[in-house]
Amino acid sequence: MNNPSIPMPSLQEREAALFALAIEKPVAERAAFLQAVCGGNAALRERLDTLLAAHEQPDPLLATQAEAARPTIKLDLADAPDEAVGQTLGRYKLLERVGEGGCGVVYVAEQTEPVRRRVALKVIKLGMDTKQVVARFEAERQALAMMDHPNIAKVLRPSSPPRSGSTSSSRSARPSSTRTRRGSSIATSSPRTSSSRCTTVCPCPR
Amino acid sequence: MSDVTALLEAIQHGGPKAAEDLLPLVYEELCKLAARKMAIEPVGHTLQPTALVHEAWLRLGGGEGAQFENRAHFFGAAAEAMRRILIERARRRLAAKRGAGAEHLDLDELEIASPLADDDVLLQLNEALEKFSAVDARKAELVKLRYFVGMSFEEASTVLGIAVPTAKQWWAYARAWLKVEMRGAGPG
Repeated sequence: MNNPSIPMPSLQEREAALFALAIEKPVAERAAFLQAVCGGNAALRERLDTLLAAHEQPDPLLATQAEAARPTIKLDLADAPDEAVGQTLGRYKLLERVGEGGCGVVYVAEQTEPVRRRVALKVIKLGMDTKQVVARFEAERQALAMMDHPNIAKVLRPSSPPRSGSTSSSRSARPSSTRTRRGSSIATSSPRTSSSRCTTVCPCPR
Repeated sequence: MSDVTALLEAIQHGGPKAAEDLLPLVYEELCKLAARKMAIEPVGHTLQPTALVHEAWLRLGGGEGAQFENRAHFFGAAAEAMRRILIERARRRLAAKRGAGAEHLDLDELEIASPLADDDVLLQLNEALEKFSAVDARKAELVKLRYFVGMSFEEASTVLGIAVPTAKQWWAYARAWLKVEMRGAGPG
């Protein structure tokens, strides 16, 4: 007997809820689960079967935005995939995203000219290239330039975005960058060293 | 104070009319911002919807301290605006391709990254999404935020005020629903 004060979930809501429960179950157990919850409701069962089949189907179409992601240098992306990888920033091709701090993202990049080599590229996030952040990058670069230690990244080439007028608004994908050199160990140690740690660690060595 | 900020505040104080008014303003703001950015970017540069929307949000004074409701309203409107921008452009490009002599409008100038390279498929998806929206508006909203703005689950769930695992469930369902719908709709 239904309690009239509690609205019955709509068919749609029921379908969505059962779908959510079903996908939590191992594929092998789904048939039994559906059998149990759908009972004699053949239409619901068929609908859920169709949806689950679609769910299991690899689909590049709707996966793009989510799992494969957009090319973006996002403001506060957490673990979203980063389609900036593969893009080219000036003479640097972004190969892999290896780290992220509060205001910048670090990539392993391939420099194409004047020599071909792998570098770490730290890119200020869109919207973060305010005067303060850019100043911090500059300070970090200065600090790095003063140090000489195999475990501290060397700055190869900082670059700033060309500014139009006096606006501090950002320019996507052409942000300030600090490039560091760390040979093959770049992906594991250098980016972290160069981005977040260096700003705090800088007075130590030397 | 910008119109948008004023409207967001009005919405918060329960103006039902304000929510409707927000969309055109956010739409316009995004177009203006995109146009400004395109003007200073090199030819061939593509703007990222996520970046664009976030920048618009910051420019309008949004940030960490902003009221949740404001955030939700803004990003909701921005997702819808972005969807319209991308769909409108896809339609116009297709029309031009088919020789319909599409009129030249500002939007053509905006190179905003679309979630799909194929305009036809994008329009099909959009049709399916409109149907889904009538069936389950909240989940459709999630799709818009994820798909047209490129938000992560974390971002989108914050905007919608739901838990991340819930967002993932919704997304899985929405995707399956849209896939089934699109399959039924056409040969694609």
